[in-house]
Amino acid sequence: MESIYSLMSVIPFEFMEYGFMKTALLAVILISPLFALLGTMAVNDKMAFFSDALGHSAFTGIAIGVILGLRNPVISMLAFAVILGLAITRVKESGTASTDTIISVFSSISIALGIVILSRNGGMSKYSAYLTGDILTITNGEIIAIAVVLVLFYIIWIKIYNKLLLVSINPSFSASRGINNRLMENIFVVMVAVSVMLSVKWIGILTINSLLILPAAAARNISLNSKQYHFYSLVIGLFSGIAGLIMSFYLDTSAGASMVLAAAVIYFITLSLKSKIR
Amino acid sequence: MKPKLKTASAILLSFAFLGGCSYSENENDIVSASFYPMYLLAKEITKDTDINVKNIASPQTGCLHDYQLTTGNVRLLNESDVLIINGGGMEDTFIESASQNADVKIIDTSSHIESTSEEETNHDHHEHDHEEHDHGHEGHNHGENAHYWMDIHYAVMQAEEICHGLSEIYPEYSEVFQNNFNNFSAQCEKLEEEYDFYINETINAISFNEAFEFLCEHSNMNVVSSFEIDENFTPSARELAETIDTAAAENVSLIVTADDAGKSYADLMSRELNVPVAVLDPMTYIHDDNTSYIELMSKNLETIKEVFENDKP
Repeated sequence: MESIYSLMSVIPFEFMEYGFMKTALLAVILISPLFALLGTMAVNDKMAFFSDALGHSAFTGIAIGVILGLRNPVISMLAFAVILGLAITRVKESGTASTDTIISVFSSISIALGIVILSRNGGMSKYSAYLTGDILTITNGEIIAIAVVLVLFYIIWIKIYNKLLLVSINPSFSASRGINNRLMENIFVVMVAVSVMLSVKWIGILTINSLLILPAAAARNISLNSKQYHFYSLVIGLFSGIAGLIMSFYLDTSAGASMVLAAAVIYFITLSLKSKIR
Repeated sequence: MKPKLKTASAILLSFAFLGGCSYSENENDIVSASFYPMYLLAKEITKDTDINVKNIASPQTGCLHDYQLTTGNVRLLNESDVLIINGGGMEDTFIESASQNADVKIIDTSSHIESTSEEETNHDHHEHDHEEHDHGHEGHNHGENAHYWMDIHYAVMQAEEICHGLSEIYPEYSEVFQNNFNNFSAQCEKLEEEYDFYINETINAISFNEAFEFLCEHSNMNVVSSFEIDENFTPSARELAETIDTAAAENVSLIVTADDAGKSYADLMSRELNVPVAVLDPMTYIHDDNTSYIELMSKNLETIKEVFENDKP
């Protein structure tokens, strides 16, 4: 890590004088590509609110952690988000209601359950930091965890992308080609759940979904094929993440929300370019 | 609607209301403390009596700045005969709720402190001469800081208020209350001497919890910058950078925080400045029932000692 930091010191800006800004920048460089990647499929599958529900489930995850007396609630958050994600896809498959209704039902349950448990155990003020998140407080150990997940997920993505795309476009055709639709969907859900839970403390429950969806939505406006879609999403994610972080330093604003605003500006620019490109 | 569905709906609705009928009236007087520090002090005074003090704000709440009362809290408030509060604006929501209970007798433990602290800006109750605090952030000066219990001297004053207040309401126990107060006061005096003895050189510190400003003062620490982290306030990158620069210039040698939202910022600051962090107990998180004020305050002293010994600032 030290060598990475000394390399970063070469950047001749005031914000690079501070160790916490270097760590935050490194975190943005790792989290943005991860979210950009997963965002492409979430946008394709019309699952934008799915990750939102997962973000909200962090409350219940924390609450379960409190009950179990865990020092770091990330394990209970991960476990609950994975279970919730799998439950949503299972109920969605049954076709009893539209996807947005089902996601909303689970989202409401997970936030209410979290608040009920936390209020029973003495309020949630201790965990209020999760609402807005703060990437500035991320530590080296946590960055390494995110880096490992990033590498692992890129490998999985390369392996399953074609199958996943086929399942999302035409499930009956993919089933006829011997693809296990449920398994593919579940792998994707678990990937989103793990990414959201690992980064929710840094980005915040209120803004995490925007970071997942906005770069992909912007990329979709200007890309002509799948390769471009992924590439643009990654570039937009990275750019808005870094720009937002630097902006927050000079404008004295919240880092997570500044990143989201940067991505939103890019979204509207791409929206105006859409008709010209296609 | 089919008749069966109608019957089912009626049964469901009656259950919803009947659920609340398990209400039982308690015959004994209920003495409640607004939150944990007040509970600890009240427990000291009511030792060896039939009075069983109840703590209203539930465990792990932290301070009451952003506390939302649960249904159980409001119920206990309305059933209380005596309510012991910290005052200084800490229990504003409680007071509003208690005002529905016209019979409750409120003991404001800081009524005396608030008037003296306005007069005694120099804190002449204490033996040390302290430098003026240069708070990095507006709105965190002693004028607004109501974490009185973290100052041993103020805690004794609060206990005294409880002793007087309860003696008026329960004169039959006044002697026991007074004895308990005398014991508590003596223990506090001893603890205060230990603090004075241990840290004999003024050091500069950063605090990530308003509660510790009084404690720092007792421990010869000059707080150069203080943050109160909650959902309404997280420091921006610019603010953190400025604090780092100030701390380096002021030669800050200790960071104090509670084990709450402020801790991650204290750790960040510690990495930047290479200065040790002392994780102290603001006494707002509930402990087991045998814990006492003296025990928790001694633990804080131990923590400061350990940090000093392991990583001498």
